[in-house]
Amino acid sequence: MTPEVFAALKENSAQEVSLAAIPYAGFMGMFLQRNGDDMLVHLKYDIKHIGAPGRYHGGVVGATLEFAAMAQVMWEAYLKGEPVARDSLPKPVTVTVDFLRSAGLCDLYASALIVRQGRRIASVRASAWQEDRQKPVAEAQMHFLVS
Amino acid sequence: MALPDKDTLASMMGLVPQLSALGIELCEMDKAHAKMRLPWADRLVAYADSGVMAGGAVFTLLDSVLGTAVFSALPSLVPVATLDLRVDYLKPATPGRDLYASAHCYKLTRQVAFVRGVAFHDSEDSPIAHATASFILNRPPSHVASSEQQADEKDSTKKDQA
Repeated sequence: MTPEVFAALKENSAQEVSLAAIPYAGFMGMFLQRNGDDMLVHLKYDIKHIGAPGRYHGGVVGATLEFAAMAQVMWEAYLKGEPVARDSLPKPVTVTVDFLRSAGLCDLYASALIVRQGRRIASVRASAWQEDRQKPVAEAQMHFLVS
Repeated sequence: MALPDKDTLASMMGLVPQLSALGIELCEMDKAHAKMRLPWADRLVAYADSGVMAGGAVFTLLDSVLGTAVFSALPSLVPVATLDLRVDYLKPATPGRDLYASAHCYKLTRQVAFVRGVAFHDSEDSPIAHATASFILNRPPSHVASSEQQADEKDSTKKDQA
């Protein structure tokens, strides 16, 4: 989630950019998309995401929500012309995830809404879904330290 | 199915894809308590400037250990699902070091388990993250029915005595 990634997504909203520059995101198989003004994290299905038989591990869903929130915070800062750190991310302070439905054997998506952006703290809500965005598998409330 | 012992459960966890992908393993298990380890790996890093691991990796370790504490509180192996999980990130994990997490299922009802736990390097007294969660227990219908039946029977016994 570098200035170059955001520049590419601003230029061409149809593409999908790998987050492989971040070791953990690359290992998990996360990609970044742009949907209007929103960032969308796309986690490609892989057997390694599974916890209980036939279901994603809750930690994988939590991690995807966290990346969607961090991407949205950094994207909005980028759009406002604020400096975007090349090799760091917002730091989570508290993350609360409600697991609403089990996530099955297919791709996972997550996007986030910044509820309040302060000088030091960003308060963010995020939602994760699979085939139907109206049927979220999980929702989260998070606070990040941004400076 | 009766609750397997610690070593059997540890080898079953080796077959859970996300746990084996991250190398998460069961260290200890006792009634309503569990301890697990996430070995350090460069692939866990999210903060290139400091080398600190992703919050998501800590979250996954905590979800795993809290769920295992629920298993260990139950008389038999029943499927459980996380209802909600809150993680407070107290300080960054130290790059290059294994992360441990322990959890305690402090309240068990017929359908819901309440759990808390911490992630740490050396001691629970110096936690890196703190977690609280609730889990829904997917007990087999017969089990639920028999518990209800037992409760009804108790009630009827009381009535009889009254």
